[in-house]
Amino acid sequence: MNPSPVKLPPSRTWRDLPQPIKPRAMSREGRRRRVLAALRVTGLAGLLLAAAWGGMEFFVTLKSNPARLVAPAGGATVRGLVMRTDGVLDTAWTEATLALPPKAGLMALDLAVLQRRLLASGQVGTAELTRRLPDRLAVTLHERIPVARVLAQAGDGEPRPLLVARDGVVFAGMGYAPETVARLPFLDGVRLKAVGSGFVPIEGMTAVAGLLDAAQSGVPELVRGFRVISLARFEADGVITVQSDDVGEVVFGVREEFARQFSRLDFALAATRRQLPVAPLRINLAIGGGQVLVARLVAEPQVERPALPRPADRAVVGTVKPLSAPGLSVNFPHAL
Amino acid sequence: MLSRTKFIGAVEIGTSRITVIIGQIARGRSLSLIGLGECPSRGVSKGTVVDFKAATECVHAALEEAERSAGARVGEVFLAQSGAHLEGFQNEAEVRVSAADNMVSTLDIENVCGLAKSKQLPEGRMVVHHLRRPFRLDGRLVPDPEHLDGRRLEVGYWTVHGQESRIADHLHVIRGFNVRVTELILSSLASGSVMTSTDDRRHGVLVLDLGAGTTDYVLYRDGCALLTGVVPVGGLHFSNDLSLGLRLNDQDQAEKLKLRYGRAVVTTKDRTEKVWLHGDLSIGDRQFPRLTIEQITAARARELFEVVRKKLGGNFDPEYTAAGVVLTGGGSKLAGIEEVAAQVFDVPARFGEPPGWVGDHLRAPGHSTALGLLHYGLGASPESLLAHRPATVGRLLRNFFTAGN
Repeated sequence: MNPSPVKLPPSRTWRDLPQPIKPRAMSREGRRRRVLAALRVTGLAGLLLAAAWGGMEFFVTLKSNPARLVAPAGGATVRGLVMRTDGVLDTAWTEATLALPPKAGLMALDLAVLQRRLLASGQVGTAELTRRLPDRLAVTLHERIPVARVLAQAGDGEPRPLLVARDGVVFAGMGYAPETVARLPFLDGVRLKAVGSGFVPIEGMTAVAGLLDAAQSGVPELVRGFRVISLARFEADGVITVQSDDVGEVVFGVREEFARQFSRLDFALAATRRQLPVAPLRINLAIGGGQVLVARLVAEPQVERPALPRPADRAVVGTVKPLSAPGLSVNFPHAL
Repeated sequence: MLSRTKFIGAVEIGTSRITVIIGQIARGRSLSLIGLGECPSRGVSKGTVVDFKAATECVHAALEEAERSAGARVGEVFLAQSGAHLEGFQNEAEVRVSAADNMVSTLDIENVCGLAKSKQLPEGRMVVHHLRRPFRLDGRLVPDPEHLDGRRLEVGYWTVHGQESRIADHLHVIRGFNVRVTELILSSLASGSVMTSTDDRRHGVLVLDLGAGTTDYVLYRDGCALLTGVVPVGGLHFSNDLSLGLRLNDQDQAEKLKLRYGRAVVTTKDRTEKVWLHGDLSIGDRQFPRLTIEQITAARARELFEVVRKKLGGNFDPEYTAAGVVLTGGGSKLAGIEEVAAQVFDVPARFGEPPGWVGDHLRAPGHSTALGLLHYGLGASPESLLAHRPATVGRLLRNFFTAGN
């Protein structure tokens, strides 16, 4: 067995000196640091006490009334909305759409349900809802931009105008100025299919939106005259027909860039107006091969027309029937 | 969760200057020097506090400046201790290895260390350091004798002790800033640890830290500090000698002459060569013989080294001081001082170079003590081998059962 260690009285070392010092011997900075240290200790002790109290409360509640622990905390009553949008919808519409119950607690709101209510309108593309403590609900909307109108008729009821967005979504359109809506062309040749409280998105609207964008940048003076855009032959022939106040009727093909088609349209109009300054025309840009068919839409006897200047890369095209005079053939052999 | 980054201050309360360096210790290993604060010293004479209020103001000003430059607050400091009140003595002890198989156990080591440190001090004195020397097992030097075979285990300690009131004064100056002193370290040990390499200490080296009011020295042999000491003579005494010898009333003028023309060896041959006090032809500007200035400073430098050599006595042997003399401290900037040191101690002398990780702004010899405080305080202190042994369950149980005996 090992012997026990030798026990000798230890010498005093500097570590035996007491380090605490009276405040009066401290400098001002030292006293300040001492107070801060005391505050830190007090704060820490307070935090620990609060944590202990919270733990005790939790334990007591768990024992006496566990249901309280699983019930959601309602939080403060919602006192208003903080709304931001990039469109025309206002706070009143948002409040009406959300339909918050009176004295609803902020923490009790089901944000997913509220978001679905906003998105159901169709006009709202995306909606973000966040709780802004203590008592505000923040709503941020990104709205769809309408590019066309469409008339929807349910049964024998009155047809009602709806708006169509670039992605084909059909919505009622709230908050738009009447003149803004009046500038939009009507959509024709589409069949609306109801689903739920709305409609299935219209196919081909991406092409229509591309057409309108190209027109806006290429021939903005013509866009204002667009009245009806027909998608009747979109699926079968891949063409979009536009009825315009200024031109008459223009047929666009979706397989060729719209910008090039508008260039040809512009050239054809300039060339044709010299011969037929006021007559409405039917211009077909969807023939392909760089050909353009131009025909008059008014009924008149067939006469020989002087040949228009004909670029070397354009071909003569055939006969068409004008929309305004069904059955009447107009022979216009001069193509551009 | 406790922070893994710690800020520690190193404070040197010098006779002419207070220096504070703040180090950032990450994960207990890597040290970064992030703050420096300096302040001209007041209320300190020959390394000891003589005016508490004045010294407190200076030290706290330096601490504040260091904290500002570091952008961090320190909660604890390592404090340098110097002064003529510090003394040391050597005490040795020997035990017979207790185990039947002659294998040295922890208990044997504890016993021999306890015996070697057991000498009682006079009233009013207290231990600053117990510096352990290498163990000897049956006469052979061993760094760690545990589990080695032998019959007789010896160890020696160099115990440094100081006057309680003066040590307490230093502590109270720091405590007045509401920071705790976690280590009190001899100035010479601090400088020696950072200015010498492990090889230097193993081969034997004498470190001289020439301060303004004191000269601290430590002699290393076999990798351990053999003895330490303080001579209450420093750079200010050189200036004082000049002021007496040249009949100058202003100590600052003498200091200026010392810095500009003082030399530890006389090189001027021309007795008629004169130097100007200011050199700007202003009123009161005077001329002094350069030879006289050099003679005064050289005589004081030689005398200082001879005093140190005398205090070292038989412990200093050039044969066992292969790494020579290392000079550091602000006083080592005197021209030719290494030459005199080499002559007096009969070994090569050189200026101490801090390690490469020390930035340029901290490489001045005047910062060696503060740098060394962090280096020594954080490194393995050689004075106690046992202090670094992890507490095992067996040792804890043994201590528990033997505590009541």
